[in-house]
Amino acid sequence: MTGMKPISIALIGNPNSGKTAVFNQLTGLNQKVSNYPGITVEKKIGMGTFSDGRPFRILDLPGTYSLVPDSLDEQIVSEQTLNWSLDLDRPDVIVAVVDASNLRRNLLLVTQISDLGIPVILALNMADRVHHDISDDMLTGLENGLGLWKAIPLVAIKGKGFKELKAELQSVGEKTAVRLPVYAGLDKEAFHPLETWLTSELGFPRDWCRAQALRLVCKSGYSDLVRAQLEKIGHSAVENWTEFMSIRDSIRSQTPNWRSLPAGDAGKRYAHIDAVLTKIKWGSDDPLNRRSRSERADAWLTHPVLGPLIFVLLLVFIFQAIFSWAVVPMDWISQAMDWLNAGLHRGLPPGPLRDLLTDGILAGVGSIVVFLPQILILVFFLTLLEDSGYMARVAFMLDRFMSRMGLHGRSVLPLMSGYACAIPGIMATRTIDSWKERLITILILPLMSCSARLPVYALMIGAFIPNQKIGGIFGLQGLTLVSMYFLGTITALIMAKVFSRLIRKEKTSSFIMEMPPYRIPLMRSVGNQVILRGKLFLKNAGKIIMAVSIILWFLASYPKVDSGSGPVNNIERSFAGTLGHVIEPVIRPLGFDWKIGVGLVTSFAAREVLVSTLATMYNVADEQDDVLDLRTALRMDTDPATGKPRYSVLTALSLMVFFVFAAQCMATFAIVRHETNSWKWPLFMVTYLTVLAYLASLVVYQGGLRLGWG
Amino acid sequence: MDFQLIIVLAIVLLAVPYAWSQIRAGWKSGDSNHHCDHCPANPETDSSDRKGRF
Repeated sequence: MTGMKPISIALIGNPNSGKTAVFNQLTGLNQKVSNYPGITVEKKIGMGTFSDGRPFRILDLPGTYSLVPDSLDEQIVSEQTLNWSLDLDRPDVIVAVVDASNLRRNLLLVTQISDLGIPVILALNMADRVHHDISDDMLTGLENGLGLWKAIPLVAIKGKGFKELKAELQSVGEKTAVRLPVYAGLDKEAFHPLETWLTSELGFPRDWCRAQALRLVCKSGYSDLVRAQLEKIGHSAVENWTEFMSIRDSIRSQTPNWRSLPAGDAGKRYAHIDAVLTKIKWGSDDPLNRRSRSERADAWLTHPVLGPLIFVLLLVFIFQAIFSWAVVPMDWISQAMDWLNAGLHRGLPPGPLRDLLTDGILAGVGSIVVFLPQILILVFFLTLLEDSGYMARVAFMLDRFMSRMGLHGRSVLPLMSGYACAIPGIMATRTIDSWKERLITILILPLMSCSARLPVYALMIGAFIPNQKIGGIFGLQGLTLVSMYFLGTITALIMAKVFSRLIRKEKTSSFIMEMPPYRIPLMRSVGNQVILRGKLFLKNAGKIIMAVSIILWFLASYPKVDSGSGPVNNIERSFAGTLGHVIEPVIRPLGFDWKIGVGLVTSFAAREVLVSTLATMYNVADEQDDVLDLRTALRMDTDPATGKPRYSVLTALSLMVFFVFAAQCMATFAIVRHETNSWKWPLFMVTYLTVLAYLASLVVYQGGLRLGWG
Repeated sequence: MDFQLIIVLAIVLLAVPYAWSQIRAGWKSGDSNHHCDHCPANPETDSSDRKGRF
């Protein structure tokens, strides 16, 4: 079967209809799925083979409500469908994924897709949320009424209905695609010359010509997109574009109401959908009760006063849990490290190799791995918030506030994603149609504290913030952690306001977001996310952190100093010590010493490397055989000149504030360069964030000293 | 030279290009793979190099 042309399958649907869950089920891949719109913002391709050995290629496209694009992610779908109509990468079958509990609205896109003349399989996803049986007659009615190859009920996240879907996909190519009579767009006589031109110049199918003619006449932006795409692929029709323009202008002059025609077209399509749904008695017992439960919950959860209060309390609870729930597993990891350390000391003779393994690798990697439970707890709660649909409510609550700060409502979900990682957040800004608003969102996104900063916060809080309750309920450590997240978020909004004044907007865009219903998250799905993140965290610890720990151990251990009785470690005079002392004058006003200075340099490889750097340096300096507890080492470290503790609560706050703002992430820099297609914006971003970090730390430390907190 | 020191030097010399390759991978992960290798909350987004099977 090798060498056969793969069957090409495309997935299309509205945002949050579950395309990626279908993609994952079909390919066995593990793309991120969640319960809010805009998870997929670029096309993704999966390959595989059918059970009979035939290969297939499956394309997952971003969610869109219409084939006329408003934003970059929707443009990807429009360009793709345009290519298909020009016979480029035309799929053998389209799987139109729809939310079965909101079928009417989802079917508008399906009617547009079926104009392409490509067999369409309707995947009625979330069929378990439809409060009536989906009978065979209903499915047949949908197939006949909408000109579909097949309609199949699915529950993608549970893997239900895929046996039938796979069987249908396998049969594609064995049968001739039968085009059934369906609604074929608004028929206006004035448009016929353009339909003829499209047929002769571009070879579009009949129904697609009619639909495209309407879009090309009524949406100037769409005709620009088509022209750009034709130029991109070197199509000869571009040479006759003036002919197209004159036909278009002629139609516009003959049709005074041409601007309102797309609405009329959508109205006719909906009328057709309504007729089909009425005929098959779909939704006669509409799930109003289920919807009203979500709406009743929203009355509290998105209440103008209670909603934000509940959100803040929820965050306080989560960050409290990060500290209190992780104590026992963190102790286990520390004990495992001690056991390994003791084993290495027993098994190896004294010497540089043993020192490298214990003071370098074990101390460096172990100091990061110990934070694994806290990372997993954070990921667990973030996944719960996303999958339950609550994150979309947070976006809704913040929308009005965002627009006051010069941001787009669509910016909220990318910013929320930034709490986990800036990269998917920056990718998700593709859903923002205004370039300037998108740029502002990209520039402020690194201010949302990603989970890579958690080890730094947790180390400093664990070492210097007392574990005590405030008001008998809230833990001081959890509140400190929450305040770091809020500091980043509030600064992000202030910077958005500043940037919106500096960067002029070309237009004000609207924000319409479909509110997903509340769902009880699938524990299997949440568990998979937590395991996946745990694996990545450990993989990272075994790669970049281990490599940096080895190098740093060497730099902190050499050159040895002659003590008279032989060479000994003197970290102050080592390579790392020398480097640290060069940096120290610059960072001294922030309350940082040379050791933190070295950590700031190494943390450009990855933020959490600061923790492993400090751990390695303290263990190199320590004469004892045990692996030092870094929190204790930081607390006990004294300045030999004054005899006073080297670090204080103020130092910890200053360092955490520095990490809230500083832009030490290579991947973020790279993706900003990629997404803005320039060096100017990523360089500007790093510069302003570094200046902000320095100034904020300076204010915290020097201000604290003036207030006598040092 | 001390045997342990020779091994240590070899490990350190290997670690330098490896660390550099990891830093470059960090750049690549953002620039072309659109995800963050260094971030624990990174969604796994490889889509074309793994094969699914019906």
